[in-house]
Amino acid sequence: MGHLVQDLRYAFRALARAPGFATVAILSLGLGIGAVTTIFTWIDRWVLNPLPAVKDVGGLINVHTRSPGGGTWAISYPSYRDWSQRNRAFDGLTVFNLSQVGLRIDGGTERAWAITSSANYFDVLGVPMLAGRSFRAEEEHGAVQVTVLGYAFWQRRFRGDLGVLDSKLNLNGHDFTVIGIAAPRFGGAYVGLNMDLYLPVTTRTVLDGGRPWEERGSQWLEGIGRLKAGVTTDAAREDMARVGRELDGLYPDDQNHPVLTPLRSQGASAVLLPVMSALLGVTALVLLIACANVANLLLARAAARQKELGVRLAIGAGRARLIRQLLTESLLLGAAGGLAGLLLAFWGRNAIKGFIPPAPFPIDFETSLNLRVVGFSVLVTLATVVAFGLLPALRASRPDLVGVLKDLASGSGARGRLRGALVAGQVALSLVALVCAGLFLRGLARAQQVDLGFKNPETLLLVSTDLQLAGLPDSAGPATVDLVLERVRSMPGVLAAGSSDFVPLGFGGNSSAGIRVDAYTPAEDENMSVQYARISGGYFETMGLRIMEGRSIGAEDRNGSPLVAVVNQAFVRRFWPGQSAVGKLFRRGELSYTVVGVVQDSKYAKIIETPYSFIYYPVAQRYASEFTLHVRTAVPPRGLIEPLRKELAAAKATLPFLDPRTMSEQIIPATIGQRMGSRMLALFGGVALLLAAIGLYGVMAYSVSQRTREIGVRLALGADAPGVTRMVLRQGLRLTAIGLVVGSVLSLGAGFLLRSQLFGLSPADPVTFGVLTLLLAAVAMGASVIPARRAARVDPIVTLRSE
Amino acid sequence: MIQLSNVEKFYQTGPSRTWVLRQIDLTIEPGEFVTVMGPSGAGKSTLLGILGMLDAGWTGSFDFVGHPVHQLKPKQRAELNRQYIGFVFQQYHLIDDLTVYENIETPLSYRDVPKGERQAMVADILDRFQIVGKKDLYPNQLSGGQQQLVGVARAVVARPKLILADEPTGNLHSAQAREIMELFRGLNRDGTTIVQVTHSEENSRYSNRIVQVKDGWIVKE
Repeated sequence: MGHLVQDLRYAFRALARAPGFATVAILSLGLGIGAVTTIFTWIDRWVLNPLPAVKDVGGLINVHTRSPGGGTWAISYPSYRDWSQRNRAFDGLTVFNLSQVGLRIDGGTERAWAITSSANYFDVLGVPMLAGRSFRAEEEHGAVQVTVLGYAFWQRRFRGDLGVLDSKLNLNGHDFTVIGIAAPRFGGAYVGLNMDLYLPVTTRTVLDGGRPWEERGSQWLEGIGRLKAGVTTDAAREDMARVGRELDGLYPDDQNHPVLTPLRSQGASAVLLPVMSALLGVTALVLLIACANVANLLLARAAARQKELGVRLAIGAGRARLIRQLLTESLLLGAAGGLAGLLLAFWGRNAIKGFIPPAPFPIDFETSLNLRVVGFSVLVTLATVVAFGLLPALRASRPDLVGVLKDLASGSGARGRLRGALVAGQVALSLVALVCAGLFLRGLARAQQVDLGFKNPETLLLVSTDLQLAGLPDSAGPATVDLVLERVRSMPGVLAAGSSDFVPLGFGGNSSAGIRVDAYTPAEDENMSVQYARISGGYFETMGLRIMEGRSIGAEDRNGSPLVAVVNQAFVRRFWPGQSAVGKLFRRGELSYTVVGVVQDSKYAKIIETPYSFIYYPVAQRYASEFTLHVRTAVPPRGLIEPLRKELAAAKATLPFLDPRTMSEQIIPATIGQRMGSRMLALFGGVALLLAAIGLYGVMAYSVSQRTREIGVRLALGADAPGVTRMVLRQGLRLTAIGLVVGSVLSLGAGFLLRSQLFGLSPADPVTFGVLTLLLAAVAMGASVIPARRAARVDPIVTLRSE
Repeated sequence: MIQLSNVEKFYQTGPSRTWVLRQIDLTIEPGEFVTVMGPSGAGKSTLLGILGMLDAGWTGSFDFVGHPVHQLKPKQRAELNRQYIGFVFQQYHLIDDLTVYENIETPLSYRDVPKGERQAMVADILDRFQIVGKKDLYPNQLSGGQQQLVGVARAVVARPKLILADEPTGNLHSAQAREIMELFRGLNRDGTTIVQVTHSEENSRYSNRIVQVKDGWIVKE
């Protein structure tokens, strides 16, 4: 202990005597450790601990049904009831759904984000109430109009006033009694979102009517189960498979088989995990580059301290003791760097907000530096100390003793090679970081060129509304939709308009329902739920979707006329391959629909997806009070927002005017991970480039200072200044070239790991590799120019005299 | 105390060998004061490095206070160095970042001497060498003679049985040199064996035996 204190004291003094070295080293390390810690803070928030107020997240598991493509879909309310009653694996199973409600308050209507859930939502998640109580089972069964407020909403809208308990909130025109306030830090079970209100799921009947509660094919609920103590995920899967088989016997038409997936495989966790992993990888590269920089500085410093280290060995220091002392200095540097890194992470933890593109959701990106993050930072700092300090310490503790003590030692060739290798390594790692950023950016650009099916999202204006919120009965709905569309179509600058309750590539998810197709025998376990939209006439024309066969939805498709639908090409390929679909029938529940047209496939949920079956129903025949106006404009669409608002108000004064946005903005969530990733990767790639340039400059400058005498001799022997400049530049370029070759190989590997995020762009994209290799070579050349020019200015007379 | 038999050292440069020491046979008894002399490049410092266990690349047999050094591992040799040997260098080789006190204390620290004992031993040496007033100064605040005084103090603080001095007065003027040599004489009288390398005839007179080295060979004893 005494030795440690002594070593620390000496180390502190040694660093204080070299403030330039210490500052550069601490800043480099701080930048690297700070970047890694910041990303870890985000990973901790959205991946490791995505639901901070929820008790024992490890005991929770997502419950869904299997989609036809092998993925997961939402579950129906009847399935939930059956699964809850029949399973033996869960202490509790809860279902919930995201919705928007119109909150009438202070004389106006504002949108609030709500979770409608089963009564046991808070119990299953283990979230306590800050005040009041959560839902009772009878409130779910009886669709009792009660609500629990989210903590942030309560703070923001009611300034934390507990008097709001037992008061009434008017939601979509109905009074709901406030019964509780949820615990702080709980924003609902959608990772990354912060909900305003929680409502019993059955109140959706009151809020938006029309929801087919008892249809097993109507899949719209998310499920989360809490495993019983001692029950493993695999055991739960087996149990739920048993439940699925039992229900197959009872409801042979509905193959709603339960699928259990880890909590982190859904929502923001799933979206952000690949991006965050890439970011963690790149920031680790930045840290490694910083380590190489500091290791290089330490090697240079060790060369200058050869005599001191030799003396220490001669007067009795063991090698281990010397290494310990050198590592103590590194530890001190690392600790200071770690502290700087933590400060950077503290500042940067919420900087992620600056990288989030505008999105129409209550995104919650607040993070905190907790003990886990601090512990991670300490571990990274210790690993960093070993990474940058051990090799120089091992090298420095083995001087040529006799030579050093006779002042005969010269710069070690091996040490010079090590420094060169470190710089080549930095160049290689920088190229990897830059290529990762470049691939993300190019992938994003490619995503923006993918054929979405619908045309020109930048001239498509979207506005959501809800006739229920406006107090209109369902019977008046279709006529009002027509009226609104008529008025909109007559506006100057509007080319076409239509409505749909589904907007592609958004965050909201899709509706789906089970169907049966005559003369089609489903495969075993085939999920016959098909996603659908309820549209008005003019929708396909507005979207720019081509009718491939038959006709579009039109004015003739009224309530009471024969039930019809338009399906997409994938639907036809699946159920009637090689046949004409027009005139064919499919059934939904007891209703039979005739296909009157086939529309081209388009993108529905993701930019890169294999087309799947999709049905469009006329809204007049399958009513939805909540819909989005789609308006194709001849002018920049944002300029039409205010005229549109007036037009809607003129049609019906109480119509809510929700989320005016362009389709380009709407589809941002489909690429949100890549957008955030590319911006941050570009930033870290730039940092990596800067650090590598500093490293190369440092090595070249040191090399020139070590070779001053040699350069003086060369000049004295007749070498000219440009020749000396070229000689030094060649040295720098040789290191750079080695780094670029190694970096290219590593970048191919990194690109391969990122391929799922690249929208089909080749991980070996020649443009990315070519441009960034040239950029790095140019920067490396720039970093070598100053030392090279300094070398050319060496005065041989002065140099040789000093020798 | 020291017995070298047929000790040789060479550097391999390509296919050829450059010999530094050839067939060195040398015995030094406890309490002797030996001077090694010879022209530059004769191998004097190399010989001193081998005696001080600083140099491992040699052949032959070397017995030191009963230990066969040629059979010992580097760690065991370093332990012998710590236990028995003190070094004095021509360039003083004080550690720039440490004060006089800390420079003298460092060898004790490397020998794991407890702190209280260290303080007493350093205080004793500072007193004996009359440099108490300089204990908080850094090397660059001392004259050459004062630095070498500290260098000797550092060499003897751990009470070594053998002091190896490589041109200890090479950088000092004559009065300072005499002072240092008197110090060595006193240490030798107290029982410390001393081996010094020097070019100085005057310094050699302080010793009781002179070994002449030339081109790596002992040419006269």
